[in-house]
Amino acid sequence: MKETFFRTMTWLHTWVGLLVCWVLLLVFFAGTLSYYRYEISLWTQPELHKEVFQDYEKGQLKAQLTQAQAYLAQHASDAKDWRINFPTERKPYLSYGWQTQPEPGQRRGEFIEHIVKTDGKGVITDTRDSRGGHFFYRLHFDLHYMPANIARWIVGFCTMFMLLALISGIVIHKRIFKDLFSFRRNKGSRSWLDAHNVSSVLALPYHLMITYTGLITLMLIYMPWGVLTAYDGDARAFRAELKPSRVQVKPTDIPAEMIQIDTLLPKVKGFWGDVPLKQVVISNLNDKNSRVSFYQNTQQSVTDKRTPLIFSGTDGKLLSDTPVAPSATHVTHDTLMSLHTARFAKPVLRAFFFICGIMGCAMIATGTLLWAIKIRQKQQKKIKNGVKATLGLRLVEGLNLTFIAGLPLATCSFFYANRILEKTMENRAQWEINSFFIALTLVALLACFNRGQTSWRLVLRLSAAGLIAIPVLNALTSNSHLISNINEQQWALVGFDLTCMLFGGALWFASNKLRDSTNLAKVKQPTTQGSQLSQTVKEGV
Amino acid sequence: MAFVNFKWREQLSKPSFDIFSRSLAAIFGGYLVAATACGLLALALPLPVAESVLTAMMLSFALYAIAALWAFSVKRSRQAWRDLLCISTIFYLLILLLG
Amino acid sequence: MISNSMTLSLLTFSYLALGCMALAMFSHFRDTFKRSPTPAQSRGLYWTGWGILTLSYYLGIRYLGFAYGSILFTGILSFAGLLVILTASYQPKHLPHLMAGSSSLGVALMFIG
Repeated sequence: MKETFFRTMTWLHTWVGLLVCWVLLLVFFAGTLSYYRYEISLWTQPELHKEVFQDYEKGQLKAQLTQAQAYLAQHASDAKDWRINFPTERKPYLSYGWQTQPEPGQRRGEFIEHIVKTDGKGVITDTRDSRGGHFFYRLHFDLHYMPANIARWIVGFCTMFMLLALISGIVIHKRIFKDLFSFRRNKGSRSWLDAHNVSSVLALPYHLMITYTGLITLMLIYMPWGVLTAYDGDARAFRAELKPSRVQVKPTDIPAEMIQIDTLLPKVKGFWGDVPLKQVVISNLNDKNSRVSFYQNTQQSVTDKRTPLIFSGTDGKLLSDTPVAPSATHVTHDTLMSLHTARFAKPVLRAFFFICGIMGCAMIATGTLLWAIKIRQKQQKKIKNGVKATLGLRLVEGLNLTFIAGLPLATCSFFYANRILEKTMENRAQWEINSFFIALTLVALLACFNRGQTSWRLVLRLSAAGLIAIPVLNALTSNSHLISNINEQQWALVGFDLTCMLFGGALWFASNKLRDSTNLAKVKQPTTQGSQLSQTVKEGV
Repeated sequence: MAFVNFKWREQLSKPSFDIFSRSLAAIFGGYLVAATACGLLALALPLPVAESVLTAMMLSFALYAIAALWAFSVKRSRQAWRDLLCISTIFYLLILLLG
Repeated sequence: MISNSMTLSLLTFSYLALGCMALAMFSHFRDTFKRSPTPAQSRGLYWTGWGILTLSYYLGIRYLGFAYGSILFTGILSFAGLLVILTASYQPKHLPHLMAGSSSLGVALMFIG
């Protein structure tokens, strides 16, 4: 459509990127935070910070199971199912959970979790109502305030745009390896372009992987057509063949005595050896069709072997097929899925995933900032003569301020709401989430009036101050603090506090930088040397 | 009558209409190609059924991306529509033939 | 904890390798050493960089398994690249010193871990 393929790709990269970049930024941001989903959840439940954390002890298993069964039989005899969660690296506590019988018309009941103290006797039942890290995880593909299926289509649409933006970006960045290490600082829009290139190229494998696997995780929604032709649209049959262990058996309504779960442990050991267990799920309680499923903690393995061992709950016979080696296709699919969620990643690799996620956010943010700067340059003469900037430019600049500077502030206000709101408040978890969006809306309102440096600095400094003060907030509103957590080696909590401080510091630094040289609204003219890249951007615009 | 006086031919050859038409072709035509290809591959791949469905679904997004890029790189927007619709019709007929 | 010190030493080697590759480029070499590189120097640095990269990738998959090692190595590369870019643009004079320092740290970690 343009004169050359190259120019077409430049045009496509600009517009495809620009149209959806704010949704993508939200998705990337929330997705990056969900790498630390359980750690965030731990922090948002200060009730658990004392006398709860323990390591997995295989010698304790038998006692823990016996005790769990007794406790659940006493407190949750009419539940839909029971879950006994053993301590893992990222959820370092033992808990008994159950799902209540669903109300008529609902698919699922309410999930209740009681956490066991380290002394093995006390149980914590009054944790505050909070979604914690789970909020960010859901936000990342279900958005909020809208039906999940619509949100997933929106996110999928934007992801497809992202894929196109990445491919066209690779095509137009001809000097991809030549310019690999160049970052020219304090050069106005050139620096922004370099920052965009650096954050894109360095983490390019990650960006491509996360985008494509993101589509794959929800492909049953986006591309169900294979199931339609090969299974005549029977998605349930397909899922049953894909994951036989996920098929739920119906209760027979014939009451039957349950066995002692701990008597199954030797059998489990016979199949799996000494691998650590993650969870035991008991379904169809006191029924002839009751089932006891053991899940192992797969830790480091990249392919996801979540095949459980399923026993009958009445006679203890093994019901699941002995595991067969999965086919190459299944392994590929599992690998792609777990690459997206990074569920296998140990702390160091998890940190790298997190850093790459941040680079993704930076790529999106610098891309749209760059667009706004270029357009403002183009209109500079007119703006000097008193003509207003065009609506498109004002809109983009406003959305940039709202999402780039607003998201950290919103996250910050989520954490503050988590600690400050009354514990007994009605709809407490929802109000934490509301506070996230209220902060975002306030920034958007500010952006309606002023999109200049002052606003940027104000918002960045607010969130910087808030984030730096997070350890103080934690010390004031929970029964532990940074020092005591270091002493007790609670690295998840320590890491949360320190990461917040680090990001607060970075935002403060950025707000100072804004004042010094790289003015967002007033940009130095690009130098003539090596202007090929800026040329490509201009063509795109 | 504004409707009669409206210069259809002129409007349709404007660059803005061209871009609009290509975008629609990329989004909907591209999806059609990906969807029919997915349905076809699920039937035609020489693998056990569940596996070929999985493979077809995993590949379909790459096909979608290629189709969308195709819609933007051909000379005229009409050609984009023609290509994408032709390919998906062929795929659909093959599905009918195999299924 | 063997994998953590292993990871860190892989990071330092990647830093060294990518640093070599950056120095193989004309502008970075000039910023760092205040003179132009000879073509032989450029080529030498470039292939040294590739050599070290290949070696550390081999070490990675040798000790951590092919799948996990490959994924981790990609992450390490991204991060090491970021560090090289930051050094090369803000402290070009100290790039060689940091490369030497980090790789000796990496060797030490290999022996300790």
